[in-house]
Amino acid sequence: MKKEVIAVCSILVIIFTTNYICQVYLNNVADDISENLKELHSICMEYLEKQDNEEKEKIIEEKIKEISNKWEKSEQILSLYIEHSELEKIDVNIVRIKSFQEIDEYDEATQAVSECIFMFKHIRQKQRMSLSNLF
Amino acid sequence: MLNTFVRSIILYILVLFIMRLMGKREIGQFQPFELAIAIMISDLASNPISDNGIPLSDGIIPIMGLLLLHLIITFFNMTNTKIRGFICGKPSILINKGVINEKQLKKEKFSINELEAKLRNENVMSISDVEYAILETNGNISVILKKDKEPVTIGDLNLKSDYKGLTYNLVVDGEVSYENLKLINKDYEWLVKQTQKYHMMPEEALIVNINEAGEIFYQIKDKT
Repeated sequence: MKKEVIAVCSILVIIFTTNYICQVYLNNVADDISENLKELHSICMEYLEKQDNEEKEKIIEEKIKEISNKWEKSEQILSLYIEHSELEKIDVNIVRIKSFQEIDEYDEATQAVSECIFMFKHIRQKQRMSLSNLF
Repeated sequence: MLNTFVRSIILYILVLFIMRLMGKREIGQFQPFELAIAIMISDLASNPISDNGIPLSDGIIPIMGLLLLHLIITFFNMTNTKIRGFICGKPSILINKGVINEKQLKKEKFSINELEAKLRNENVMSISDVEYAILETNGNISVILKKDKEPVTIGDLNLKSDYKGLTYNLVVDGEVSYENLKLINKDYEWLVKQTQKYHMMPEEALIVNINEAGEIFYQIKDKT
């Protein structure tokens, strides 16, 4: 019986600890990238309102690169425990943001940024322990 | 393609490990809760194998969860008779003192034909030979025959027989079992002397075993 009790306790500890670590990592990544996306969104909105200068375009381009690099690094770890179809949606959105920026379609890019922000919020909610996720 | 291959190996090893932890009962002797877990484990393991989009952890974590549940249920099953009755159910007497219990048959959703089939599986060819037939919680039927239908034993004939005891495998497929040699207080040199009587070395044997009466059975490996 001792072995069984030890096994039960070990499994519980492993599962809860792993869940905590994964949740914290996801939240940190989601917060960080969402923050960057929101900044990008506001810069794009400002650019669209004022039809501004090349400087703003460069800022947007660098911001997109920064977000893309961060996402690439985080995605490898997130893919270990999050459904790949969810991560692929973010991948597609980031590619869309890049593509729209390259062809100067900043209104489409802004839309794609909003979708991306929503995707991060959605993934975080989906991974959380809650009644709605249980049922 | 290689991903699917490696994932299948990882999950197979995990499922094998889990089934090993679940104990040594054959599938036909699983209790209901064990059968439920075994079926669910196999289904959970198959999803990540067939779909590379599902993370491996989506297979491993629920399987660990089921193992956890199994350990907890087994613990209560072993220590508490009330819980055991609730989880595993209780055996039902289908034939009591030679009389078929119709109520129990209906309750267990057993037809007479099924009962006869189960009895035939236990080498009982006629219901009239049965004193008690008990439907166990794992679905098997235990049979107690009427006194005059029971097979004759050596005790009934007042005969004496030599005690044979347990048989120990000393060599299986050319591999010597030092553990069993130790159990019978013998060593490798003794084993070599015994096998040399049959013109072979221990490593050349397919099987060599000995019972507690000291009788040795051997078969040499096929050299072709």
